[in-house]
Amino acid sequence: MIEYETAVGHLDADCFYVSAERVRDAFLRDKPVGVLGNQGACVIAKSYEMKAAGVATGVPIWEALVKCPDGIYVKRDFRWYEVLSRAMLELMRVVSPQVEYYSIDEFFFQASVPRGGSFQKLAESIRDLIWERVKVPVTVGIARTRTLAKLISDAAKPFGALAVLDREAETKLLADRPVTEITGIAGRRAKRLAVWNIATCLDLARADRRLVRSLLTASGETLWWELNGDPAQPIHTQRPAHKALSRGGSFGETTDDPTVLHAWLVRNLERLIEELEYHAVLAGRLTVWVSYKNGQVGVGQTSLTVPSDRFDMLLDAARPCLRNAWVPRVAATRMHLIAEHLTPRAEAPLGLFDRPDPRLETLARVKRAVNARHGRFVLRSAATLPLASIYKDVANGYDICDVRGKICF
Amino acid sequence: MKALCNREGLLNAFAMVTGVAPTRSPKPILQNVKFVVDGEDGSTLLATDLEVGIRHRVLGVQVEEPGAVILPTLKVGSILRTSTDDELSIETVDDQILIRGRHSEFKLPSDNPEHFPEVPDFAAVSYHVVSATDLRRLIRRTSFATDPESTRYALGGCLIEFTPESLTMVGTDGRRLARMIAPADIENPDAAPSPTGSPVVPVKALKILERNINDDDPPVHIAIQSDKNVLVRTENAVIYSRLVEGRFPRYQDVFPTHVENKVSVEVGPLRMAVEQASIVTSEESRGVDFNFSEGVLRLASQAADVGSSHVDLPIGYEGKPVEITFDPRYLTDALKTLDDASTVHIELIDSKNAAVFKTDDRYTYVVMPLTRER
Repeated sequence: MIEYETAVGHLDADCFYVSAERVRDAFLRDKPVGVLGNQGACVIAKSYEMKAAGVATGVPIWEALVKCPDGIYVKRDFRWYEVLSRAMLELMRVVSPQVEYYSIDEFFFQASVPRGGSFQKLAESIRDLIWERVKVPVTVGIARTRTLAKLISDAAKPFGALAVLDREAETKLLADRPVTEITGIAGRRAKRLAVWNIATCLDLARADRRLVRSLLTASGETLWWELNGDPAQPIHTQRPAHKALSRGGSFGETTDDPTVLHAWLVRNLERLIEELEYHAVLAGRLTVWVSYKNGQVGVGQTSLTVPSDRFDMLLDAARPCLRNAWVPRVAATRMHLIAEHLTPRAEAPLGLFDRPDPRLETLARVKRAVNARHGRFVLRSAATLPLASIYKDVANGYDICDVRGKICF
Repeated sequence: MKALCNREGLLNAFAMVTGVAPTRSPKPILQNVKFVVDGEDGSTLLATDLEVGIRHRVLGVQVEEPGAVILPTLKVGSILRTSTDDELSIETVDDQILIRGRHSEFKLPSDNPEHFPEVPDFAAVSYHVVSATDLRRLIRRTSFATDPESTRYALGGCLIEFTPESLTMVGTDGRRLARMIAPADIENPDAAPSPTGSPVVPVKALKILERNINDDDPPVHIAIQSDKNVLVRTENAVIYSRLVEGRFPRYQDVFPTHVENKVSVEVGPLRMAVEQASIVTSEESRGVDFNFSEGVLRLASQAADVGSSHVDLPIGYEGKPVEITFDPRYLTDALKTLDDASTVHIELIDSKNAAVFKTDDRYTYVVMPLTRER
């Protein structure tokens, strides 16, 4: 019987959205390419060529055009990105018995080689396999823990493959990298560490464990164990059940028109209901969160008498929430609709006052069936009519949050 | 204003009113407590968040100079708790409060007491009278079933219904409903019109009221004012509250009109069995199956990644077998408010209809089951 050695691998696609666009359009190769989100308002991903021109992720298109006038700007297409993402995921599931779908372009996996085998060769073979089959360049890092593997793949980009299991090489890598490169350490946490002269990953690994816990709580201590090569974060082969589901985002164009705000509420609600139905859960509490151009934030929250995924019940609950979250005559920039207190549909509490209405249940089924057959949002509430241009643009028909099963947003 | 206060008397009153003062408010004066000293009418502590207000009598105050002062809640609370003096002198000096003990002295800034909002006093001529023990029991057994977040109905408090002989309190969150009826008298019934509508008293006011009464206190007086406010007079306090706005659902319709199966069970063993069965539940699988069969109630639960369990409770059940799934929290919430040695009468129809739990002291608890699609 062959004995295996195991480690943790991290695969990260290189400028994934741009790479995905290049898969279907070879003309884009080696050219500065930017992918636009938020109704075409800002750059959400850029090629290395565009990065070299000084364009950062998140900048508005008008700023990007100044810095990179020769750039090619394309609208996002999450449906296509998901196709490639799932193709990579399937290949990874062949290569490894345990794969975590961390995000659309990142996977953690159990790396195994026969005793005495080479993890470096495994990393290279996975990188080459993905390139050969999917034509997306990726970087693969292999190490003793997830945190180390991610640091290694970040260090080896682009189109890299690197296995670091040797303690000395590990120490050198940690010493070279600022502590802010660790996922979960930024801003305030980094400042707290700086007071104790913890600036590099190695400083953090060598710090007293109790000090790290007092500064960064239990999640920080988890990182400390991981940096010291002790796996503390498992590979989740399935996404844990959601505590909350949310739909929403930026409006693109700001608005202070209550009719348009209501239209966004209904659009977000219809998207949220899709998600509730997919996960077979009912919402017990609803929150409407609206942010405004002047920095204000409005929040409205309510609990439902009986948990529900029905449009009429949820809209009845969401309307007063929007009224609470609404700041009149101030331009709103984004809205989120959040469902909490999720109850599995299979064991939902029955209501004392609002008994299930078979007519409305049928209506929901018909709406679901029509949209499943003829396309998303083909049948939708008339309240969304003020957003005709949003529905017309196919780029808005599918969002990153619609890619299901990922651990991370 | 100048007074010599018995520390314990002031501390007791302080503890009762501070729950009303909000910790944060756009009107900062509300975060404080107003102390009115008066040699003739007695001294009073007042607090309000504009929704709920309280006036509490302070015992053991020797008034040297009548007047009023605004006491910062946190600072004065700490002084009263940590002092070892039997008596403390409180006076206002140049817009400051001076609190003096034998070996200590505190100078605190103070607001103008005239800026503190009026807290209504009990001025009703016609009101209901209910025993303190009964009122505590009414609150305890119904207020847990409410839902302060609901916007569809006015469920953020308990509905109060009066008759010339009784007071009924009802709390519901739409999935379970608790109702209790207690004897009550009416004082001067002809002096004021009977309250109309559905007065719903907010949970916060009920909790404060519960804290302010003891079982051996004299009877409590309750009056609804203009269908908008409720005023309650206890031995030492007057509690005012605005009523919850909105519509309370027609709760009378939730009681099943027929019963197919009945069984009486001692509360203590039932509560223990439900608590045991709920150990092996999770957020994703909360339900506990209650299987009633001849002579035994079997509670079974199963949750992925948590395990499974069954707990058997011998009962005197003789009806046809009934399987019904409940969220165990709904049952323990109610059973915890009952005396363990008392008996609860359970009435069942089937797995889709409400189950009713009744006690001999006119308490009724209706719970809807969970759907069973596992």
